[in-house]
Amino acid sequence: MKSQQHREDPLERFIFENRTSFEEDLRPSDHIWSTIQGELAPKAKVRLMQRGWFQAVAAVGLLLIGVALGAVLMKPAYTMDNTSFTEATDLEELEEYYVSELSTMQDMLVSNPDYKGIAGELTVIDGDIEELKKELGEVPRNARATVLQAIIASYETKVQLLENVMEYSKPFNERDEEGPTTM
Amino acid sequence: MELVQRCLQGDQRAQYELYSKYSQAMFNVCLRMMRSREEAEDALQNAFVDIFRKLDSFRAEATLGAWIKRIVVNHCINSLKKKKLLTADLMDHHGPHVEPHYECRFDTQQEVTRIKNAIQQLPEGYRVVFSLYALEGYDHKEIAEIMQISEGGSKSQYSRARHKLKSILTNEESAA
Repeated sequence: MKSQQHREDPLERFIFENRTSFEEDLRPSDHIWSTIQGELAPKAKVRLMQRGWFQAVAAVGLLLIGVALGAVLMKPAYTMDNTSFTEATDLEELEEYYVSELSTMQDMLVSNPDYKGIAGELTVIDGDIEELKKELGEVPRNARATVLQAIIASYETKVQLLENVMEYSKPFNERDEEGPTTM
Repeated sequence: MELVQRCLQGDQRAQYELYSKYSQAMFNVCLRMMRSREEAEDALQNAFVDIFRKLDSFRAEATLGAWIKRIVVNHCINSLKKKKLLTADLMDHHGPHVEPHYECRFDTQQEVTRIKNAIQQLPEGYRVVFSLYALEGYDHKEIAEIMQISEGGSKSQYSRARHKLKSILTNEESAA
């Protein structure tokens, strides 16, 4: 860059002295960022594959939790103090996993117009999850595994909705052959 | 540098942060270089894809902003060259020899608007060289590198652009 020395030409001097006034207060359209992300997709795709592995491991883990929880909930009442503790821990772990996963995806999609389109659905699902969590504390012991499974299913629905938006935001030739996950 | 490191680690939040920090200023650069908002957005988009892909080659020899701006400017130039809009102008060496007199005649904001409109009326090659020198702050050596012309070519092109700009401004005054 040149040093901003004294300018003798009056037009140059006027422009130099008022350079900030030549800046427009215009921003690029929101879709530009989504397109840039789409163009950088190969890297994202690798991470998505890694996520696929992680998700598979997590799904097996959650299944085991569900089975263990079901078995524990069927035990006699004298073990319930421990059961309640395990159940709460399982729910915490479950939420921690999904909240982190969903937060990452939502950050990636924050400027995506399609994401705004599903915001209402996500809010409804959040409401359902809150209701289910309340139910978990109220239903009989033998029904708690079912409620927990419903919470998992609700979180999975949110993940699928966001994955669909991510898939649609990719350029057409980079989309998965089988297309976005259907609900 | 911490932001660059996070981007290099594939942190998409950091990438978005970097984009948010520089996109408006770089969009302004594109608007000055290109003919329409649509073309400016195309150039900005392609430039940022390139920026993220080349980020590992960024060295702190220049500021990150200057490095990003150079990539953005290169994308604008390449886009104009592809459309063969620059070549013809750069070959046009004809024009009157006596440079019209310029003086600021209105209040600052009015004068800025008047000059901006006049810059938009310049032929592509003139507009680009004039913008790079007078608005983006590049010197003739840098403009020569960017546009792949000689330093002397940049100087003479700039001189003709300034001449033409003053003619436009003077003609407007006469017409008013």
